[in-house]
Amino acid sequence: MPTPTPTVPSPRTWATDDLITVPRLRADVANAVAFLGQKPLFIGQGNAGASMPNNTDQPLAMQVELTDNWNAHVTANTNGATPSQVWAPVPGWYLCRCTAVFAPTASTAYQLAAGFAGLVNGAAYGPVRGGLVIGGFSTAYAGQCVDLIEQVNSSAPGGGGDWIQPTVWQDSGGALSLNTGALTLPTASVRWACALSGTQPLPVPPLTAVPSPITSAWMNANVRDALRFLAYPPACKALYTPGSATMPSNALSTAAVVPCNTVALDNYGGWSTSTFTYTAPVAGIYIFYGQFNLTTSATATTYAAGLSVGGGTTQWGDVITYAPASGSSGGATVSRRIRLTAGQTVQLLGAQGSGGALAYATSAASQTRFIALWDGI
Amino acid sequence: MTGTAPAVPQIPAGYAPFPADITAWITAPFTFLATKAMFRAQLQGAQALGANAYTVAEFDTILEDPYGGWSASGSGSQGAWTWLVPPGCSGWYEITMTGLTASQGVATSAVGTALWVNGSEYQLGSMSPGVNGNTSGSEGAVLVPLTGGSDYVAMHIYSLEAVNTPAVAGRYPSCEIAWIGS
Repeated sequence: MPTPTPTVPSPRTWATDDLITVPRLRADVANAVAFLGQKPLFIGQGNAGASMPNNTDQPLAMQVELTDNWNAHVTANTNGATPSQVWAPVPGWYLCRCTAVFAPTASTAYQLAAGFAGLVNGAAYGPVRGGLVIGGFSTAYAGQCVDLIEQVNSSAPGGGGDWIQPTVWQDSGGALSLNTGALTLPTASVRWACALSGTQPLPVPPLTAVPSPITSAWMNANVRDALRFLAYPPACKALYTPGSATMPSNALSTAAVVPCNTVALDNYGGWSTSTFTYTAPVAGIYIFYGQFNLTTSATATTYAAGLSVGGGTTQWGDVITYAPASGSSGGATVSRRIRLTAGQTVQLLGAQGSGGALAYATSAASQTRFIALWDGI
Repeated sequence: MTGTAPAVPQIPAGYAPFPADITAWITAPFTFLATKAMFRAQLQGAQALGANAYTVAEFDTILEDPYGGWSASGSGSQGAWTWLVPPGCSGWYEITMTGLTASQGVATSAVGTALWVNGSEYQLGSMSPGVNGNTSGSEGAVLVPLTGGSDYVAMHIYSLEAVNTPAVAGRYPSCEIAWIGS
């Protein structure tokens, strides 16, 4: 981790006669650059070809650390921490991605998924899966899962704080081994994305030239508010709380808006639980991720997930098909970085071609969700 | 607006800063943290993909490349159809990739994405079951450490069958690259 250990920026307000002293600059500016330039980031891989049991959301042990800049992870059981856990070094919302790849088999089709579990404010979280993907056919298909997970209590590994754990799942009917190919290892990343609380709404940092003399107004806009914005940017996570919603059988050209009706995080008030639309509160580049999971389809079914900006042409992510053998649910995922102007809207759309309406999955694990995170001017 | 990955400002004690110091300590690093090195592109034309092979995505529509890292033809050590990491912008990058193909015409097909670094495969991004009779798509991301001024990256699309990428709005293969930390 950076030395000395920085903290989540909490910059001072500058009064008219405040002196720009070295301690103040170090506390606000040097600390902020150290933190925001090296935010907690963990990337790990499982390279042991672990055997995963049938129909169980199994922790992904990561023996390989590609990076662990805040020492949030251990590669062997240590002080109560395991290689599948990533412990929160500082509180915040963490953007997480897990890619699950099993060794290819030629057996009957099965389904697989990546996911996350963990501890949030001392309470169990998940497991929640990404989109469900078919396996088999001698191809090492990969399951994707992105989640935005809250971490309230920080600690070193095994220190009693919150933690995040990537998981993998499959329903082949027996145990299956994870892939061991060097370029196709199951991989997970966990990175700090946003403070738990902060000041909003704020404008995008103005980044104007330094005046002479330097004024308190400039310091407040370019230091205090800029740091507050960068540490607490617009972020949103909306879920579908199981009810009676269904997705009609449709084509890509007639895709349906995915009804994420519950807000887990929306610090700038961008999400509408009635129109299921995210309205960009400020301009910039946003990270978007969406997924849906539907109940069983008895027939070979196409699933597709996409994003529409301002009601325009849907930009598709996964467009995939299943020929279900075990009757599991199915879905799709999409992730993009998209540039928006303030006020532009984004919707998560889905399509499925089963021939009849399918209900959204009701199990807690087979979640439907939408994520948005401002990531730059 | 461009810059370099910020080092932590070293602010000496007993020193009254001038505006130039404030620019170096505040404006420059904050500018980079708010306007990170990034790149977004789409492949809008129909590009032929080999069967059971990874084919480099020949992006023909650069949505934005403020640091000018893209080269379709290659230059010096940088390969063709790659993005060169800007000098001074070393760090960890997230590369989001969406691969799409036209119908592969078989029941059990596959579409995927992978990241190439400096001409060699680095890591699988995604691999998904394709659709018989329709567009197939697969999305994923790779996080990778890259050195500014020397490393270059390319997105490859995997297709089980020899088909074209779809030249249809909304179904364009795409790639987004963004610096995420030192």
